[in-house]
Amino acid sequence: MYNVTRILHLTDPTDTQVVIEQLRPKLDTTAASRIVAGATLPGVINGGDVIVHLQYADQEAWLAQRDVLDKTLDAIATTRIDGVDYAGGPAGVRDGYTGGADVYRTLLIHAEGSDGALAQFSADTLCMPRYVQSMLAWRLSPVDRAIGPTPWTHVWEQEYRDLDGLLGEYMLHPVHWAVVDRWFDPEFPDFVVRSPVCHTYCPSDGQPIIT
Amino acid sequence: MSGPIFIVERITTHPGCAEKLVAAIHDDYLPLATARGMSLDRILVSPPIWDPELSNEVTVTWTVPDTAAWWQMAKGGRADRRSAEFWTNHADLIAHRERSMAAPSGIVQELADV
Repeated sequence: MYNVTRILHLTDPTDTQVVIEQLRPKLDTTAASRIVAGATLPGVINGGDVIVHLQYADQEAWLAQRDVLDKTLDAIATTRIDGVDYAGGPAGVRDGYTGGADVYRTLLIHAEGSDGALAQFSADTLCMPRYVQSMLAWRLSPVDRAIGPTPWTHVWEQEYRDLDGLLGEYMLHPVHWAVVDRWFDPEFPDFVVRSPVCHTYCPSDGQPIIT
Repeated sequence: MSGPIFIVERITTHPGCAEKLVAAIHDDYLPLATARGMSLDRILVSPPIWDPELSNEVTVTWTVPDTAAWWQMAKGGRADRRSAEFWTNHADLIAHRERSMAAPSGIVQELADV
């Protein structure tokens, strides 16, 4: 599976629903096997107005369609598009989860550091589902190609049953602020996250995204 | 919401540098920390001797009232990098530094019960 995400920062955010309605039929022409196109929900940070997430059988299938998506998005009035192309990294699904999540969240990260620090950052991030039960599916992936002003290196995606699962349990559990967040903290001597993150989420259609 | 939460800095200074570092924490770091909701709990110096030939272990503990305040503190430190720059500006005084988050043992389970 190959994944493509674009975060649209609209010139006029009041147009969000109109843009999505216009975008959906055009995304159907991109031959993606899975299409998510949703308005971001309140509370995103540097998270734009629209999330577009597409999946393809492999990178070759995506590259054959890349121009189609680029032209589609070029026609939308944006101040910026952040994006990532990536094969799936380490992922997991909660026992018994077969769909029904209301929220899809993606975090775009620009991380730089020693191999040891980056490995520990990944290990700490991937230990979160052990403690955060509201996380139904998760995946941490390295980025093949970044779009926009920030050289994104990692994508951390999750699915949640509802927004409380993200803004409550995920944000408040000590594994987040006492274990993982140090890698984002510029006062931590070995911090690796070098640019402001793109923390964004949108409604899911309930069908699993991370498989 | 449970609290307090402690932000703990464990610093090994270069010989003779502890007194200067502690003064800088009071003069330069404390105002920035206070502005983002941190309260200085204490600064411990071990051994408690100012000696130009001695390396000290300096442990600085700060508190915030709860998890929400912790995130406010964290976001403030990312928007305003002067606190991070404090450590790079005083790197010549510091041989090693560790930063960690902690809580009183009595509220550990409560903190995880979100």
